[in-house]
Amino acid sequence: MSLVWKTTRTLAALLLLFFVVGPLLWLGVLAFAGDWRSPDLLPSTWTLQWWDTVFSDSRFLDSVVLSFTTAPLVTFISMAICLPAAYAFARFDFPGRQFFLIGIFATNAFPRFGLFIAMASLFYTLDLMNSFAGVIIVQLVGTIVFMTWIPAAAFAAIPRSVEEAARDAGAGALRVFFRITLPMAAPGIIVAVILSFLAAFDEAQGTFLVGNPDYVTMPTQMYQLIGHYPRQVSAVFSVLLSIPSVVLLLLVRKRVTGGAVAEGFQLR
Amino acid sequence: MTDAPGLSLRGITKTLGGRKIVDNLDLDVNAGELICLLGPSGCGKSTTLRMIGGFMNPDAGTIAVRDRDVTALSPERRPTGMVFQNYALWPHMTVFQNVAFGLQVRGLSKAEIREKVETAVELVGLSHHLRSRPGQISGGEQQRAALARSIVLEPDVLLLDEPLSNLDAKLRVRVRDEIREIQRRSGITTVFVTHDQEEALAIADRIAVMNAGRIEQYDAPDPVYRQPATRFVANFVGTMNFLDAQVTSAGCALRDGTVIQVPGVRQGTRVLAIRPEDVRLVEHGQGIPARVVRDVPLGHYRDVTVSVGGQELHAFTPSTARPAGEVAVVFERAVDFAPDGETAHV
Repeated sequence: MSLVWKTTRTLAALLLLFFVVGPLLWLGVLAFAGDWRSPDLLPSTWTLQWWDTVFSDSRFLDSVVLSFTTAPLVTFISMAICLPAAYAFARFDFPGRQFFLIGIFATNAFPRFGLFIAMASLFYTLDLMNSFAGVIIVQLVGTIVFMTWIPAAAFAAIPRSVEEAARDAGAGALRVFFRITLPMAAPGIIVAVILSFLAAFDEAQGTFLVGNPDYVTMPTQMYQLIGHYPRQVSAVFSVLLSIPSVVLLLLVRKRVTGGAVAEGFQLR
Repeated sequence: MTDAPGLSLRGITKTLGGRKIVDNLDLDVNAGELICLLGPSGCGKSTTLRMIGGFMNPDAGTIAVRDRDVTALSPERRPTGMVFQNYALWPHMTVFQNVAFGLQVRGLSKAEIREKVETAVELVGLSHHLRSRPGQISGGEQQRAALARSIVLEPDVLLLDEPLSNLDAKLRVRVRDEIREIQRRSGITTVFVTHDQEEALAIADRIAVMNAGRIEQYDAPDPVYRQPATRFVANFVGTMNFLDAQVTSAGCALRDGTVIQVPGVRQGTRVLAIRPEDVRLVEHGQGIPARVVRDVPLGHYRDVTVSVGGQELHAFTPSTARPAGEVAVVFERAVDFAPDGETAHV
């Protein structure tokens, strides 16, 4: 039993490694590949020219700068709007609470492109097409569900009595929120921030529709690259695109593996 | 000790969901006194405590601490300190930080905070856990950390909401005695909410027995136990036998017609309330005829069930006795109530 279990587990781990790390590894190699023909396992020549192509072209660089501007900004705005909402959903019973909660979820339950088309026609009348603000708003849409639902669950999991105990000790409402409630909800909020940042960073459909032609982020640049450049350039871009995910995961690794995040979700 | 009452409630009323939880309640607690609000769940004791702490507003009535009306004050402005049933310690802070929080809010200097925290933590015997987080210490230790967090702020009134209910039986008795000792030493006026009558009898200067939003009796533990004011109190506090009787000048006629003599009982249809330790088992023929139905040895004593006059009674007897068969009982003392449960007569 235990040997079978061990073998199965090892196989599963290897399979996971193959499917997760395999493509990334292939991309990494491809980004430096000069001449690479099948069935060769490795390229016959290596080069940095694709990186040079990307970094010497101002369009590419502009998209990198834009992506690293919009994604943090969107995440920040999303926090400012959604965290208070999440707290309200968790703590107060107001008319329409259920309706809004389900509504936020429902907008993500359908293919988002329909939503973007509807937004685009609205954006035309508001003169938001091909604008920075338009890109921000369209990217915001994909983050709201994460930034509302996950922190709401985190806030709801905090017993009211710990907040009451802080008021009993003499703290006003604001101090209670920042010293007690927020730190206790932090694991859930961190997860929401990561997911929101990545959602904003990876958003391509809406950004393409609204931002084209002047506001081109990295993922939308990808779409245009695929048709016009060798696939090695796409590989370079893919590597650049995965940098934030890797950095974010490394940053919170200690908290995730240390159990703070898992504890926040009572997964331990 | 000052003459001002530690705490006084006047005409406190609270309705929740259309139900009167607390009904025109008056309560006075002397300065330095520890009182228990005792009652079954839903009797309004916790609601009353939360209103004293400011976590709920009464629909009517006033709450005064040392003659100062605090009814309109929010919890952070009240001179009250609460220990919650689940302790409500802040899990992301160490024991030191938990206890220090309220002092920081008050803007004390670092040195003052350190000194006060150390004194309070020493008082509850938790000095070795200053750097621990609540998740790393036991339930009893968490309980004491919560107590230290409240008393470090030197509240005029300390509020304890079933603070022992999450502890196991042995620990409960120990922490109970510790709380009593700490309260005595610090001299803080204390309101202790519990549904455990034994806890209340053991710890309180006075017990307010609550039922359906009202106080049925407010007295020291002995009178509450020996002279229950209402049938509810007689039934809720301790174990009690109830005997239906028709009382005439000839004596008390039990259900099956047996007539017994119990002094001082009023005439009419009455319910006699007799403590099991006041039912003395004697040799057959020397008292009211009785038959042993069950005999349960409980270690310190035996719980003997006897059939008297067509009703069953509990008698607590020394564990060395071995009563069996036909015996007799003598009632040492009894309290009588009207059948509707009101007004006692001792």
